[in-house]
Formats: sequence, C-alpha cells, structure tokens
Amino acid sequence: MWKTIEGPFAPMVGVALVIVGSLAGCGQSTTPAVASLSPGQVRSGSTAHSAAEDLKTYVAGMQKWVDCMRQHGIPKMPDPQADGQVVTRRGVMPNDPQVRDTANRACESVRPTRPQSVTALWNKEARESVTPAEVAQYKKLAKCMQANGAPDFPSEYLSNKKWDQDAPGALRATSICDAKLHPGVKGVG
Amino acid sequence: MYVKRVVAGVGTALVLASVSLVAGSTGASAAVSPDAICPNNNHPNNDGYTGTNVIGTNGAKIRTGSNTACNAVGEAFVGNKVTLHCYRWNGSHYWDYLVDHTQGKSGWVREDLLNVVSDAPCS
Repeated sequence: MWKTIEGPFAPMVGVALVIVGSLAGCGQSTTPAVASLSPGQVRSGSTAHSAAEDLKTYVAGMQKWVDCMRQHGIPKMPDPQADGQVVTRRGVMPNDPQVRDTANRACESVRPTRPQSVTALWNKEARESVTPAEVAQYKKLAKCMQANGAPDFPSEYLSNKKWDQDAPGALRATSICDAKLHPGVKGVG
Repeated sequence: MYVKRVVAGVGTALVLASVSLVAGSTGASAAVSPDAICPNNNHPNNDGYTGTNVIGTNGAKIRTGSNTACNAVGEAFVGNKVTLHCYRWNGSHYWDYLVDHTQGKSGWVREDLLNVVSDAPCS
C-alpha cells in the first residue's frame, strides 16, 4: 500500500524507501551488499529463541572467543560491542602469520556461528546509519560511471544489483571518475 | 622466476606460476598458491563488520586477488562505508577482502592500508 509523502523530507524519505526496498532481498545474496553472508556461515534462528536471546548468546560466545584469542598471542583483542561486532584495529592483529594461525587454530571451535537475527541487526544498523550525504556522493559516482563506460553500474546505493567491475569499460570509467571525484589522490597498494 | 600463463575457458584467470630452476626440472609449473591467483574468489563473509572507519589510506587499491600483480578494480577512500569479509596471508602481507559500498566495488586490499582489519580468516 503506497502513501503519498509530502514535505521537505519527501526526497530523503523517497531515497530511504529506495534503499530499504533494494536491500529487501539481501541476506543470502553473494553479490556486494550490506553485511550479506554466504549461506554456510549463517545459523538460522531457532523459532524457540527470540532475536534478543540470540544476540545475548552470540555476544557471550564472542566474548569467550576474544578471551581465547587474548590467551593465545593476541592480548589487545577488544571486547565485542553490544551488537556482537568486534572492531579489530590495525596493530591488534599480529603481522606474524604463525601467531595468527596459532590463535585461530586454538580458538576456532570457540567462535560462535552468527545467527541470522544478528546479521539482520547488523544490516539494519548499516541501513539506519546512511546519511543523505552518502547517498548524494554515491549518486554522483553512479552518474559518472554510467556515462563513462559502465552503464551497468548500480544506480541505487547499497544495491544488490550485479555489475561487471572488471570489464574494460568499468576500469576506464573508474579511472576517469576517481580522478574527477578525488583529484590528486594516487593509488597505493 | 615467474611465468604468466593465461588460462582459457570459462572465467579466464591470470595465474602466476613459479618455475622450478632445480637441475633436472623440465620447467613445468609448480603448484600455484591460491594467493597468486587472480581473481581470488575464496572470500566467505566470515567477519561482516561494517563501518566507515576501515580505510586508512586514500587511494587504497582494491584488487581482484591478494597480490599486487592482480588487476585493481578501483580505489577506496577514507570514510567509505565498507564491509569486511575475511583475511588471508599471501606470503609477505595480509590482505583483506572487503566490499566498499561507497565506491560500489569489492575486492582485496592490503592490510597496511586499513585502520580496521578483519579478525576472521578466509579459510
């Protein structure tokens, strides 16, 4: 059922509806999307558990995993956030592959599988944090890409739509648009 | 010594193969490390962290594989909204697979160009 939206925020709401609509199918897609997961990584939420219970269990499990990693060579591993995400800043994870491998092997059985409800929460957080400036920036990029060799570049921000980023036209458009939108920046790495 | 060999067929891939120089070798390619393959499509979303604090260096190249010999499909910029999938070691550096939503691109970025890195191995 559609409702006419009026007022100064109508365009933003319209954009938000487009964004939400375009994300409606995400969750099991393998194309770039907000926090999309491959099916094998997700544990379907049990009907016997609420999303809140799933989150509580997941956060507790991630805390155990963090504690394990700290005991196995990664002492600065941060605690999980309230939503279960662990934000590992560069410098926390060691550059020595032996240390990382040892910690991973010791702790992989402790790391919980993320429930679908937690993934849905992360998706929701990412969508709700979208700003009009983000959308405007993306639309500018999309217009440039489509006009310079990548007609299949998705028009909607956070779209699930597939496009060929490796095609010759896409690479040409990227070179032109990055130079236009980020003048003077040289690629590194 | 490396030999570039284009593999024909469905989904062409650029492969860097090491050639043995040991006496008696016929010059046949040794087993190829997955980190030398472009594109490297083994990047399950084992992490899922999404934030605007991930990219640490403007112009960080996003590549099709965890190797500077792989094509760059674009560049990432500080403040971009990014989802981290996983990391892997390519013999000299850690690389993270990510989705840069702001640029509409996805691929591998070397970890020393990131402020926030993945805590989940790709395999």
